[in-house]
Amino acid sequence: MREKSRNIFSALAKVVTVGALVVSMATIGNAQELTIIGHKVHERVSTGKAGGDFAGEWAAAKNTKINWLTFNVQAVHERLFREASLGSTTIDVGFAANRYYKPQFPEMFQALDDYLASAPIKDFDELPKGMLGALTYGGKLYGIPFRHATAALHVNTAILKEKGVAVPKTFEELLSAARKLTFTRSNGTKVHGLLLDYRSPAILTDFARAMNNGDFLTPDFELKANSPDMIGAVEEVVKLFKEGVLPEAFLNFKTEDVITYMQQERAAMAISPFGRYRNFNDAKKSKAAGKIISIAVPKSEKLEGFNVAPIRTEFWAMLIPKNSDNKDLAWDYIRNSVSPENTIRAAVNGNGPIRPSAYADQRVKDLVPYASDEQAALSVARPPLPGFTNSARVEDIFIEEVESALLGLKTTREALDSVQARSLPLLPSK
Amino acid sequence: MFDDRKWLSLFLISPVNTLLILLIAGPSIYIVWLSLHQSTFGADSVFIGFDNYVRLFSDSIFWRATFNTFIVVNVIVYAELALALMLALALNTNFWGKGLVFSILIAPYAVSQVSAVVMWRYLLEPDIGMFNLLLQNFVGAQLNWIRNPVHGLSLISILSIWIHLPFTLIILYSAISTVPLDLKDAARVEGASEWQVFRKVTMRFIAPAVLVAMMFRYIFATRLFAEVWLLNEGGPARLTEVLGTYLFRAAFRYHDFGAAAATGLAMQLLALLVASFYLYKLYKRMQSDG
Amino acid sequence: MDDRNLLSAGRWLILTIGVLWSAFPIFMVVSSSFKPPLDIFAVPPKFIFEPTIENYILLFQEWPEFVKALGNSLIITAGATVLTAVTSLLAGYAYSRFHSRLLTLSAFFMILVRMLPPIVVTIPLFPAISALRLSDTHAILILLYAAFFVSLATWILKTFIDQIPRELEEAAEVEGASVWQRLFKVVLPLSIHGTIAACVFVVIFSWNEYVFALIFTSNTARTAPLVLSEIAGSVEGVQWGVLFAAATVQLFPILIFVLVVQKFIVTGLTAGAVKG
Repeated sequence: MREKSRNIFSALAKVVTVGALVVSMATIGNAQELTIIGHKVHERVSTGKAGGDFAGEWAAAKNTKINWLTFNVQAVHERLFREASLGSTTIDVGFAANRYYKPQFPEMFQALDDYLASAPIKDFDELPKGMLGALTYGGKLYGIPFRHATAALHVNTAILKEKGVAVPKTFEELLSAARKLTFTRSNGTKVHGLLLDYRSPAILTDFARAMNNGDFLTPDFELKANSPDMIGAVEEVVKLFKEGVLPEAFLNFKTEDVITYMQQERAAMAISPFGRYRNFNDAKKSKAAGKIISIAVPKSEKLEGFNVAPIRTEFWAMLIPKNSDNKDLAWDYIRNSVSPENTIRAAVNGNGPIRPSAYADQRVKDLVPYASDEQAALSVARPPLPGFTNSARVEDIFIEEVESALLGLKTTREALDSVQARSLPLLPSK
Repeated sequence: MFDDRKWLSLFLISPVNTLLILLIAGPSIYIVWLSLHQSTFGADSVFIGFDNYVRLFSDSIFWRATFNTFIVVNVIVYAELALALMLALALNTNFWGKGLVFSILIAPYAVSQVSAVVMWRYLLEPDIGMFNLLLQNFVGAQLNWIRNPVHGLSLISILSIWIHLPFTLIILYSAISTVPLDLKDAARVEGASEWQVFRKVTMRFIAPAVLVAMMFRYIFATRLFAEVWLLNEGGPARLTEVLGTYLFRAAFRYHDFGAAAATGLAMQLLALLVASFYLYKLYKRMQSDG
Repeated sequence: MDDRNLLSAGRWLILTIGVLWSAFPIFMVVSSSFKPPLDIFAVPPKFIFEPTIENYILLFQEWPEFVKALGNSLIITAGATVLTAVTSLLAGYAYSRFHSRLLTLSAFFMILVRMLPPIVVTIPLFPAISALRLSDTHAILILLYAAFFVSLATWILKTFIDQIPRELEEAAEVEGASVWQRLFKVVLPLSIHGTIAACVFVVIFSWNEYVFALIFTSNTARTAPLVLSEIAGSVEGVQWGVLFAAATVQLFPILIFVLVVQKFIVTGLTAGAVKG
C-alpha cells in the first residue's frame, strides 16, 4: 500500500512537470502584445466569421498578439478599474458600459484628445454626441463608444396569432396585449405576456419614457424617483406582476432568464435590447426560432413629439488605462475598430453599430431585419441615467424598494418616496 | 539558554507560519487600517476615524444580514452534525460496496459551488424544475425560493448543507471508526441498550472530533457567500442578504474598501464569538496535551 | 433480535436516502449534459432520450479556453497540494513531538488567523501582488491556496503523528540517526495515509476555488471554475447544455480522485494504519 502511495506522488510530480512545460511553451509568443479586457461578446463581434475578423487582421498587420481577457459584465469593470488604479498594468484597452462611468475616470484613464488630434478617427463627427458627452470629464474625452444596446419590443408572432392578438402599435395596446397573452397551456405550463430584463432604474425608466418621456435621474443629476412619471411607471409594473403577466421569477430575473423564457416559448413578448433577436431566433437553442420579430417599442397615444418611445440605450466604450505601457498601439487598435467599415463588419457579426450610417449599408440590412426599427429607436433613445460614484448604491436601493412594492410590503408611492430620500445624499453635489 | 530542540521546532513550523503571516495575518493588519479610511479606485485614502463603523452599524440591512447569517449558520452546522452523525453510525459496519457508498456520500464535496448552484437551480426552477414539479404534484405547492425569503433562506441552507455535509461526515466517520469494539461489547454485555451504548460509549469517544468539526464548520459557514450570490443575490428586497454578500457588495460593487474592511472585521468578530466556545475547549485540550 | 432487525432496516434506510440525496443532483446534471438542448427543460421531464454529445462539441468549439483552464487548475492544484503537504508535515511533526508555550500559542494563532474571510484579504493583497509582478501566475494561487489550508492539514498531521510510536524514532536515534533522518526515514513513510487525508481538502478546494482565481488571474493562470462561471453568466443566454457539459468535465477528474483516495481518507484521519 505504501509503495502504491509513492507511485501516486511520483506520477503527480510528472504531471506537474509536463503541465508546466506545456504552459511555458504556450506563453512564448510574439514580442509585441496588446491586452484587451471586455465581455465575450466584444471579442465575438470583433473576430466573428460573418463580418470577418477585423481585430485579427489588424493584429497580423501590426505583428501584434492580442490577448482577450473576458469576464462577465460586473467583473469586467471591477477588474478594469482595479488594474487602472495600480502603478502599472498589463491592460491596454478596456471596455466599460455607460452605467459604470464615474468622475474618477481622469485619475484612471488616458485623455484621448491629443491622440484624436494626431491620429484622427475617420468621420468622427458621426459618433453620437450624447455618448461622447457621457465620456467627457473636465472637457476631456476618455473613451470611444463601440457598441450600443437599445431596447426593442420582441414579439412571438405565433403566440399572438394563436390568441388572435395584433402586434401592438401604441404602448396602451402593448399593455393590453400583454394581459391577453398571459395564459396557461393545456400541459400546465404558463405563458407570460411580457418580460422585462431586470428591476433596475434603467429598465423601469423605459415605462416612464414610453408613457410620458419621464426620467429617474436626469443627466444633470436631478433625482425624480417619486415623480408622477416614475410612480405611474412602477405602478404599472407592479400591476403586471400581481396579475401574473410578469412571471414570479421576475423578482430574480437577469438578462439570461429573459432569453431562456423566450426560447422556451414561456413568454409572448419582451422588452430587451435589439441584439437578442439572434438568441430568440437561434434554431439550435430556441423553440421560438423564426417566430420572433423585433420592433421599436411603441409610445403612448398621449406622448407627443415622438414616433416611437424614447427608450433606453446603453453603450460600451473603449478606454486606455493611464498606466498602460502600450498607449500608442492601444489607440491604433481603437481607431481601427471604430472605422466606418469595421463598424459595419462588427454589426454583421452582431454588434449594435454606433454609427447611424451603418444601418444604410446593404450587408447590415440583409443580416439584420430590424435595422430600420433599430435606427428609428436609436434616433430618440438616450442613456437611462448618468454614471456617478454612488450609482451602484442608488441602483441597489431602487431595486430593493421596487421589490418591496412587488412583494406588496409597501405601496409603490412609499417605496419610491423612500428611494428618493435614501438616494439624494448619494448624488454628486451640483 | 536556548536548546537545540527549541530552535529546531521553531524552524519546522516556520514555513507554515511564514505563509500564514505573509498572506493572511499581514494583510489583516492592513484591513484594520483600511477600515478607518475612505478608500476607492482612483482616489487617495482619507482618514475618517470610525465613520465606516458608524455607517455600518446604522444600516438596517447590515443587521438583517447579521441576523440571517446567524440563523443560517446555526441551522447549517447543527443539521450537518445531526445528518453526518446518522450517516456515520449507519456506515460503521462492514458491508459489500461500502467504499462506493462512502464515495457517493462525500461526492458533493468535490462539486464546485458554481456547479452546485446550477444543479439545484435546475431542479428547483419555478414551474419547470423537476423537484418543484414533484412538489406541485404531491404537496400542491412549490418551493417558492424566489418570492418567499424564508423559502429562499431554506434553499440556501439546503444547498450549503448539500455541499458541506461530506466534510462533517468525513471527520465524524473517522472518529466513530476509532471507537474500540470491545468497549461497546462490554457495555452491551452489561445490558445497555443501543441508545445507551451510543450515548455512553460512542458519543464520549467522538466528542473531541465533534468539537473540531463544529468549530471549522462555524468558521467556514460564517463566510457563506457564493450560494447566496449565485442563487438570488440576497433578494428579494435584500431580505435574504447575509454578511458575505453584504461585504461583496461593498468591495466589488460599490468599491468602498473602507466599508468592506469594516464589514470583514465585523464578520470575523461574529465567527470568533460563535467559535470561541469551541476554541476555548480546544485550547484547554492542547495545554493538557502539552 | 427484533431490535437488531429494526436497527439494520434503519441503517439501510438512512444510507439509501443519503446516497439519493448526494447523487441525484449530480446525476441529473451529468445526464442532462447528454440531452439535446431542447429536451433539457422539457415538461414533463424526459428521462428517456437519445443521448448526444452535441453539448460537448459545442463546449470545446465555443470555449476553447476551457481546456487550457483545466490544465491550469491541474498545475495549481498539484502545486498547492505539494506545498501544503511538505510544510504541514514539518509543522505537524514539530507540534506533535515538541512542546512549549510558544508552540501552543502559535497553534492557536494558526486557527485564529484562519477565521478571516478570504475575500477581505484580497483587498490589500491585490496591489501588493501586482507590484511583485505575481499577478496572473500559477505561483500566487499555489501560495494562497496552501496558506488557507496549512492550518487544517497541520492539525490533521499532528494528530496522525501523535499516533506513531516514539519508540520507533528512539530506536533510530540509538542507531545515530539525526532528526532529519528520523523525520524522513521513520515518520514520513508512516505518515503517507495521514498526508493524503490532510491533502484531500486542499486538493478539492484548489480545484474548485473561485474568488482568488477571479481576482488574481486573467489569462495565463486562469482556472476552470472561472470559465465555468463565465459560461453560466453569459449575457447571450445560458446554454444550459454546454454549461452542464462543462460542469461534468470539470467535476469528473476530482470525482475520480475522491473515489481513489476515499479509503486513505478514513485510515489517514483515524491513524488506523499504524495501530494495525
